[in-house]
Amino acid sequence: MRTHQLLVCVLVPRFALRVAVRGPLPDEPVALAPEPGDAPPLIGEVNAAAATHGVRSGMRVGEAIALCPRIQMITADPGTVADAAEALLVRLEGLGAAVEPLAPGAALFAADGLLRMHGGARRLLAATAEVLPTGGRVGAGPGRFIARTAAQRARPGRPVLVGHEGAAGFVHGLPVDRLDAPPQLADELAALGIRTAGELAALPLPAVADRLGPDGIALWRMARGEDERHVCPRTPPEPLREAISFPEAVGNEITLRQAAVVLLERLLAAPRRRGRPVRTMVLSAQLAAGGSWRRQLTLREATAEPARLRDALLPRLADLPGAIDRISLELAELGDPGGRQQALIRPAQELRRERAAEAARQLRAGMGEGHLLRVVEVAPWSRIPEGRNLLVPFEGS
Amino acid sequence: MKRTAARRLSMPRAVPVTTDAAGVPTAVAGRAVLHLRDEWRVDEGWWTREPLRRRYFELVLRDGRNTVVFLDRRRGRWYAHR
Repeated sequence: MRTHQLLVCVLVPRFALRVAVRGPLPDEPVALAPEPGDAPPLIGEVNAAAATHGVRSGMRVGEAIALCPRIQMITADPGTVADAAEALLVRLEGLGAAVEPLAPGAALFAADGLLRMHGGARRLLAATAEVLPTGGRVGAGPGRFIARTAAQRARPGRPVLVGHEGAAGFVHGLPVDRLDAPPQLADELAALGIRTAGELAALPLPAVADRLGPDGIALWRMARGEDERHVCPRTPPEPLREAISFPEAVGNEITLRQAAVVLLERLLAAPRRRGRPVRTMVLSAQLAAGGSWRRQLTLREATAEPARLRDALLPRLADLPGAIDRISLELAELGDPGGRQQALIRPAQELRRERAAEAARQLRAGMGEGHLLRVVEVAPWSRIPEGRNLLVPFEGS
Repeated sequence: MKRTAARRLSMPRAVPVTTDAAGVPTAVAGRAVLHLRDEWRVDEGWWTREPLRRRYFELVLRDGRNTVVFLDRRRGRWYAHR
């Protein structure tokens, strides 16, 4: 099945750095300093000026300074970044879109249903560009990959729209490593001398399937401008957040623990929680020395028991790098009070497994037991090929 | 209910191989060898009654196929893996 869904991707490059500098990126080389408590201390996003000196995100601070002695380190502010990312998603949802967050400052949504409301694709893209912060880009096309690549190619305020007819041509000249291939597959394509999406798309499908397997087929389709992956929009959260501001900086552990317990009790008592158990909490703090600190805790099993939540929450306070001015706690994700709700769009892997199980059932019905076999790895390390795998009757569903 | 026993995968099958003076394959099942990609030896189970002594060759044939053949040095016969 070929999808004809128009997807819109928004992208704010160097989002965390832009939020931390609180304005347009400077012309001087700057990088996001490591977050307090990070070991080893690795720098975050860097601006274009720093990148021209060879400084890259994920380097050690010493290495970055050695490459570019003039580089300025901007204090990381993960709390504000998370708030700004959420605000961006809310603004996009304000356009009527069901948004899938990709990363802080990057999101995707399906344009179908919005085109008529906004008076066409161009107008929708213009409206989208208006809600983005400085430096934000918008791209649209049939499929996730094309929409995202279009956004990467767009300039701020000048959205790129790729139509269904132009999809294959748009992808044709791209280097094949831009197609998000798994590393092993990317190496194999390089070894085969396939450098562009067009070269991959020109190969016959049976040959690609034979040589590269299911990942290769998915990549081949992408290289032809066919992308069947759906958008998985989020359920807009109802933020349950409480905070305590201290009159003066606090570093005392007992005080911090008491404050965290008070916040937790307030949130558990909030009527808006409607008895739902807590799955994810976000503890954040404003540091007295500047910047912020943030930790997300996801529980293995959603719970509303205060004692278990306290046990999960309080040890995180030991990670605080110094005294703080303000502490806040958010219940970022709540469980379902009754039963589990199934997802509307199921993952592709699950669908494949279901189809395979159905095929196995039909084969067994047609041919009887014992004809369907599966490969079991018994000694993958063996130097003798016939010692590595066994074929055994497939008895599952 | 009929049950099928487990069996090994990639069992070697006998294959006619012609070699040069150094014992390197020049043709496999009548197909000329274009390129020798790798060669290695396996000596295992020398402490048992059925020791394995194999000389493996990974080859590219003229028709573009990759194949792995080995010489069973005890029996002096050539095999290919399925």
